[in-house]
Amino acid sequence: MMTLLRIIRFTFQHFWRNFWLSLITVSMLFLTLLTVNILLGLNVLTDTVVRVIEERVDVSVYFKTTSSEETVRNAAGYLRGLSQVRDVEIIAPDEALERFRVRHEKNTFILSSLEEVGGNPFGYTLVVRAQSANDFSFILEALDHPQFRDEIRDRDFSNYASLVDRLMETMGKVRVFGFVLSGVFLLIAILIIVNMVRVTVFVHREEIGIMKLVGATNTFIRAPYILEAFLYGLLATIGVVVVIFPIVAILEPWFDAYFQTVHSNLFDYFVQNGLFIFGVEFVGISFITLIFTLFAMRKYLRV
Amino acid sequence: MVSFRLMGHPLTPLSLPVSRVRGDQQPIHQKSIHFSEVSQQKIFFTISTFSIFSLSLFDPPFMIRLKNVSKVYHPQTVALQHVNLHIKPGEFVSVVGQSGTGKSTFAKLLYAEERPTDGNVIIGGWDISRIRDAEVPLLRRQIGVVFQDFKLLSKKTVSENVAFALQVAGARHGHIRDLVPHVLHIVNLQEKANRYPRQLSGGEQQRVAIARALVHRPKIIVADEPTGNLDAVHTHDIINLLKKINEFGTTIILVTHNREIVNSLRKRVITLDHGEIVSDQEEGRYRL
Ligand SMILES: Nc1ncnc2c1ncn2[C@@H]1O[C@H](COP(=O)(O)OP(=O)(O)OP(=O)(O)O)[C@@H](O)[C@H]1O
Ligand SMILES: [Mg+2]
Repeated sequence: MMTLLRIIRFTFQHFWRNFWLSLITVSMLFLTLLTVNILLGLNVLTDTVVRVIEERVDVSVYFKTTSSEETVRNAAGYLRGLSQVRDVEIIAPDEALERFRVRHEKNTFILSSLEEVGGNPFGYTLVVRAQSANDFSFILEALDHPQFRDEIRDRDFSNYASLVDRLMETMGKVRVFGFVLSGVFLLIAILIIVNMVRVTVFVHREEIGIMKLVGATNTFIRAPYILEAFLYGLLATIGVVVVIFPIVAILEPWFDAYFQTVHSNLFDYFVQNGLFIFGVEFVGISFITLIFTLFAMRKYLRV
Repeated sequence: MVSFRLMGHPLTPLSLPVSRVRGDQQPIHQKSIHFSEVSQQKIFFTISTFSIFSLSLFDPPFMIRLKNVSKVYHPQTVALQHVNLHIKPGEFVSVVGQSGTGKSTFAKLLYAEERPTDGNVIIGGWDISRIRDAEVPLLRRQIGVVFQDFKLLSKKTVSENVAFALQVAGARHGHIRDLVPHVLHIVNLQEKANRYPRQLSGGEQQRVAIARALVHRPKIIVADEPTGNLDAVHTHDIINLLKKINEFGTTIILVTHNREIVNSLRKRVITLDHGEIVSDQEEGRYRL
């Protein structure tokens, strides 16, 4: 007990009396953790982007003007029964015409050609949204059903399909890139920590030797270094917590304005998972520091 | 801690690791074990400053004994060969010799920084020739070491440096608080207790080192060229301090190059040459 108190006192003394070295160490660990958290945030944003795309992408299925409302309702019911379909909107011919008019309000040429055609050139339209962008190909096949095939005039899916494919591909690449980047950063972080620890221990090698000469056991010499690793880890984690939340709070409205319909929930993500995220980060970074400290000390602890 | 209670006990030649305090290596003066820490303290503080170091009442046959000791450094450097040596408790022994003749190696064998390649090193009844790493701290808490370059902890103050030697052994806070100023007083540094080593002169730093070596009341002080970095005045101070400590019974091994010191001491002088003892004289003189 007394020894423990003594070791705790030594740890803080060591920390303060080597203030610059401690500060540099904590800063390095802080930057490492900051990077990790930025990558986590990016991952959340990637998810948001995917959701935004999925939300916006839909397939319009245009029925022939001759198709009856009943056929269209059947088709809608059939599609709604598919688990891949999020929702189906039925647009009646009148409404379709109205929407078309509104959309091309300013284009007198189009409007006048519409007059020339006379009557309503639109049939029923189904707007289909999928659960996920991956499901469109399945829905496409489902629409090939013999019951509806001949009733359908057109689908503007093909354009979307390639768009979705491209986007999915891009998102996939972004994810892989994120992973690789995380890995690279983690590797760099570990290299920095290892090097920093080696420098620290090297600076203290004389001290370690002297302690041995006056009869300190290896455990007694090591103990403050072990505690110090956790102190560094704790300070770096606290620093990251203090920095991350304001940044996220500032950025979130900005992201949300950009994505409009979809909420990124970035702040909530850090609030809800904060204990876990920062807990794991604290333990992880402390142990990495600790392991490499003990490893670097080994050389100087031999009799 | 058992080792601490045993430590500094005036009646045991040297505290052995608990595992060794059994069988043939048991200290001979076992009858006195009942002396408590408290009575020791009393003796220490009331009777006289350094009575605790006195071993004159109980003359164990030897404090340091080397039996046919050789030390060969990897790969081929012979630092010591066939050294036989007895040093009695309370002796003041100067070790002289040219550079590279194995003086520091001899000192390192005593505080187990090196192990002999051959032969036995026995300190206070404890054969440390094959001492285990884990037992080395226990040995070092009973031997004071002093070096040319002081070897103070630069981030600790004077009193913290001295206290550290007690803290490593798990000494109680109160004990440390009482003892450290006392020892600093002996080396006349009580006013500079809160300074850092870099704020002291060389001689003062060396006195701190000696205070640290003294504080756990060692049976032996090994000083490897303690005056090597000091001017004549400080050298004189340090040697006087060592003499004073010796007068209270601590065995002193002084490695030195300083002719005047050796000649003025009029104590035993061991001369090494190429790793061998070429002369060993009571009241010797420096001759090379
Ligand atoms: N760790 C070591 N490894 C290899 N050789 C060593 C080592 N330490 C000392 N030696 C060699 O052992 C011999 C004795 O060295 P030692 O340090 O004991 O000499 P010394 O008498 O103390 O010399 P000085 O008066 O210069 O301090 C020297 O030749 C030295 O080069
Ligand atoms: Mg030497």
